[in-house]
Formats: sequence, C-alpha cells, structure tokens
Amino acid sequence: MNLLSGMWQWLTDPTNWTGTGAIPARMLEHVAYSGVVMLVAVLVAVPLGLLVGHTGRGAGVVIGVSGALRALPTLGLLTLFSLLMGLGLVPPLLALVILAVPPILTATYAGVAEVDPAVKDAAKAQGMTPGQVLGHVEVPLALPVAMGGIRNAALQVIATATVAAYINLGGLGRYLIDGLAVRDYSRMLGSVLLVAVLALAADAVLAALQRAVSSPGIRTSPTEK
Amino acid sequence: MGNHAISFREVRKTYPDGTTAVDDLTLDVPEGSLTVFVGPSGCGKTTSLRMINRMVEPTAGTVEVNGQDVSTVPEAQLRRSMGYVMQASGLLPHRTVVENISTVPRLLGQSKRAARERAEELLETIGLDRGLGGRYPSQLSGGQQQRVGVARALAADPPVLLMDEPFSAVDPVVRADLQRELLDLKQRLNKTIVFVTHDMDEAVLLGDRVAVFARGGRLAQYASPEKILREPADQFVSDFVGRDRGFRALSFDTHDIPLSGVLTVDGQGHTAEVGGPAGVTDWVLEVNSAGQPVGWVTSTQSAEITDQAHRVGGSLHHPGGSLRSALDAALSSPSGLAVAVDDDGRLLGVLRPQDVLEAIDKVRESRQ
Ligand SMILES: Nc1ncnc2c1ncn2[C@@H]1O[C@H](COP(=O)(O)OP(=O)(O)O)[C@@H](O)[C@H]1O
Ligand SMILES: [Mg+2]
Repeated sequence: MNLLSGMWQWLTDPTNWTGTGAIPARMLEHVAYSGVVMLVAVLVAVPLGLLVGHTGRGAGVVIGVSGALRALPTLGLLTLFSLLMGLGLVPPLLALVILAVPPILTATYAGVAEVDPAVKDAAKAQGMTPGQVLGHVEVPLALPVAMGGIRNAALQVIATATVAAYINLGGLGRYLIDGLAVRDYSRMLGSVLLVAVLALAADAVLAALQRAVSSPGIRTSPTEK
Repeated sequence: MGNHAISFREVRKTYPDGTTAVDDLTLDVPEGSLTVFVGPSGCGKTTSLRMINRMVEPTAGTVEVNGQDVSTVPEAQLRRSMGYVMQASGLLPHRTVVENISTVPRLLGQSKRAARERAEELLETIGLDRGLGGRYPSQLSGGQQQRVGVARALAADPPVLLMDEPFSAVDPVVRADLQRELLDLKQRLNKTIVFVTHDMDEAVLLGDRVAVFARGGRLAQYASPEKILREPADQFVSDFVGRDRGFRALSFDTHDIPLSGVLTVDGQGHTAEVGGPAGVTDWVLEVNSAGQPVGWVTSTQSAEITDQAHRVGGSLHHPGGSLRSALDAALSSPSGLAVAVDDDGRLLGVLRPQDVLEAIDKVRESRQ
C-alpha cells in the first residue's frame, strides 16, 4: 500500500513537474523519440507493404524477415548498435525502428493482399491503370488494416522507448534507471504509469485516425475474411 | 467487311499451365446485336469475352473491334470504351453507389459534378431509387448490386457492353426482372452486347445470335436461337440444348389457335358475349368502356363486381404470338382461359387450354 501512496506522492510533488529533468520534459522527450521512430518506420514499412501486396512478389521474404526481426530483443540490438556506432541518438532510434517495422509491414501487406480479387479485377476491367488500382482501390481498402499495425507498433515503441535511458539519454525511462539505482520504487512505478498513460493516449489518437481513413462502406468489418 | 462490331479471327488462347481455353475461334458479332456465348462451365466463354477488352491476351489470332485490332489500342483506353459487368458485382466497397457508377467518367476526366449527375440519371434508367445513390454496396441486395454494376458499365455510354454471367448469382425472380430490363435497355440504347451465360433458357430469351461453346473451347454452333433449337449442328449441341428443347421451341412457333367466346360484363352491369357463344358460364370477364379486359369474376359474384373482381393479372395473349405465350396466358388465368386481345388491348375472345395443347401437339407431330 505504501508503494502506491509513494507513487502518488511522487506524481503529485510539484517539484517533479518543473525544471529540466522534470516530468513534462521527460514526457516530451519520450514522445519525440517515439514520434521520430514511428515516422521512419511508417515511411519504410507502408510503401514496402503496399508494393509487396500490389505485386504479390516477395511476400514470403517479407513475412519471414518480419518474423525474424520480431524475435530480436530491442535491448540487445541497442547494445550492439551502441558498440558499433558509439553513443548518441541513432542506436536507440534504430533499434526501435526495427521493433516497429514488422507489425506495420505485415499489416499493410495483409491489408492489400486481402482485397477481394474480383474487386481488383473489376477495377482493372473498367480501365484503371495499375497505379490507379493501387491508389483508388488497394490503398483505401488496406489503410484501415495498416492502421491496426501502426497502432500496434506505436504501443510497443512507447513502452520500449524507455531503453533509451540505458545509454544515458532522456525519456521516461530515465526515472526507471535512476529510480532503480537508488531503489526509489515510487519513482519507478510512477514513470511506468506515465508510460502507460502516454501509450493509451497515443492509441486513442491513432484509433480516431483509423476511423477517419476507413470508409463507412467497410467500417463494419475492416478486417473481414 | 461491313458492320461487324467485334470479330474474332482464328483466335486461340492457351494458358501458361497448358490449358487451351479457346481453340481457333472465328466469329463475327454484328453491330447493335445482343450475342450470347453459351455453353457448359469451363468451355472458354469468359476467356473469349475477356479477349475483347484485353483482360486476356490471345496466344494466336486477332480480335478486332470496328475493324481495329485491339492489341494496337492501349489497354486502359480500350477498356474504358467498353462496359464490363461480371457475376460478382465487383463494386468498390469503400465507395458509394454514385461514386461507383462515376468510375469510368471520372477516369475519362469528367468533372465530379457532371459524373454525379449522369450517375443519378442512370440510377433511374436501371430502375433504382435515386435515394440509394449515397449507399455503400454492402447496404444493397444482390439484385441491386447487379443493377449498379450495369449502371457503372453504361456510365460512359460505351458502344460495346460485355456481360459475364451478370444475373447468375441473383434469385430467379430478380433474374427475370433483370433480363426483362436488359431487353428493354437494348431497345432503347443502341449497343453491341456480348452476354455470357451457361443457361440455355437465358441464351434463348436474350440472344439475337447464340454461340454455343463446347468443351475445349470449340465453337459448336453460331446461329439464331430458333435455328439452334430446331437444327442443332451436332450431338453436343443437341445434348446441351436438352430434352425440353421442344418446349423451348414453342417460343418461336406462332399458330392461329381458334378463339372461343366469353361472357363479359361492363361497369354498368350489361352483359354480352365476345368472340362467339360463351362455352363457359361460371366465369365472366369484366371489361371497361373501351372493351379492354379488367378482371375475371365468377358469375355468382357479378352483383358486386368492382370489389370482387380478380385482376387479369396473368399474361394476355396476342393472336400471332408464340404457343408458349398462349400456354402461359391460359395457365396464369384464374378461369383457366387465356384472354386474347388485339394490339390496342381490346378483348377478342378467349383461348381454351385444350385448343392450345392441340396446337402444340400438331407442331410436335409435324416435326417428327
Ligand atoms: N488464368 C487461368 N489460368 C489457367 N487456366 C485458366 C485460367 N482461366 C481459365 N482457365 C481455364 O480455361 C478454361 C476455360 O475457362 P473459362 O474461359 O473461364 O470458361 P467458362 O467461362 O466457359 O466457364 C477452363 O478449363 C479453365 O480452368
Ligand atoms: Mg465463365
């Protein structure tokens, strides 16, 4: 019980909310890391998923590589990249991008691959070029499914971005590392709660976005079949 | 070569797996005709149809549309110049009915507004309420979806319409409606239509010309439906057309069946005999002041005809019409008598079922 009250005390202590290493600043860092990682991951995974889904080529490779990447522990990658590239922002961001790419890539690919062949065939028979089939048919139908992968990735990235603190960077992970060092469990627990709140908030925003990009014609069952 | 909208010249299609779907097909589809490709499943009808709009490329031979080899026309451009309707409606699920119908006009660069107006107009043409324009395909019945598919194919007013089993997946009642409407559309819009079906009845009902395909992609017979029913070119066609072809052939026999008299009553309650002395007296036909039939009443009800009248409902027979229509008219009439009318819808008399059957027997005998 005194763990919870300790956490509450830490969260409500006004001195923790102002200054350079304070909660708002750490949250901002955390959001910035996650945002950059998600942006890069989306820019890599969505076009690749669309391409593979549209052409039907390389699907086996994509699924295999995605599975392999998922098996890599982020902390291990971070250590490896830091050893190779030295300290700085690049190693943790890269490790997190590798965490985020597989769910987005497989979801985008699945979204395109799931499009009813009869719908694509009809679109082509009406006189759409391959590019128009992609833009007018495959992308709008795959987007809701791809957004599912993006939400999934965002949850993982926000939770895992705490690893940046292992190599002396900021973010909410700072409180975990520093709290552990001095056995300040209230601080650790408080930061975990903040990470969770951040993840849920991000998910709510992305869920709204997912809804916005889903046509009402398919909204009832965005991943049917 | 004259006005052949579509010509197949020694066309063969062998798929990469070695299946020869179409073998040495040479066939001319006259401009403005409704030509049906019919045959059992897997005999190359769809493949042949799809070679017209280059959804399938022939292995050998050429397909020409209005004298031009289609392989010289860019695919997208060619396809936009031909409406295409398929069995699975293939509507875009994320777009509304109006947006779906607007697809080709939009691809051709028409403004959103112009395409939308045209789409709404087409909704009426194909017998759908304008209010459905904002719905999504998943909110429509199968029959409505097929109608939208037809509207989409008509949107850019293409001279050629390709239809691949468009009505196979809808229930028989809706199918009959759709077939009737297609015939009606054909009358109103001057289009060359190629229609694929595996159903001989549908082929006979719709086609000006029927091409019967046999397994292995061979064209077994290409002629008018009457000719195919009367003189099947070979055993395959004869088997495919089936045992009941005698009944189908009734669609084309016109025969003068003797009319019988009927007792009529008008709005004022005056009775009369039309077409001769009335043989049957327990059914009375109500007629309006123009002499057109309104409905059957039984003689015991004749005091309160107006609300007791059975609407004629069933089909009317026009003398010179087919034996099949005469039989239909008799079978669908509450009195069992077919009501015969002239071109203005005025009552001429009635046909007794026994006279219709006798005429059918005579036709059968004459063919033995
Ligand atoms: N893409 C394809 N690849 C290989 N074989 C095919 C392909 N499409 C059709 N076929 C084969 O070609 C033959 C004719 O098919 P199709 O033209 O669809 O016939 P139908 O429309 O008369 O049922 C069938 O044996 C079918 O299995
Ligand atoms: Mg077919």
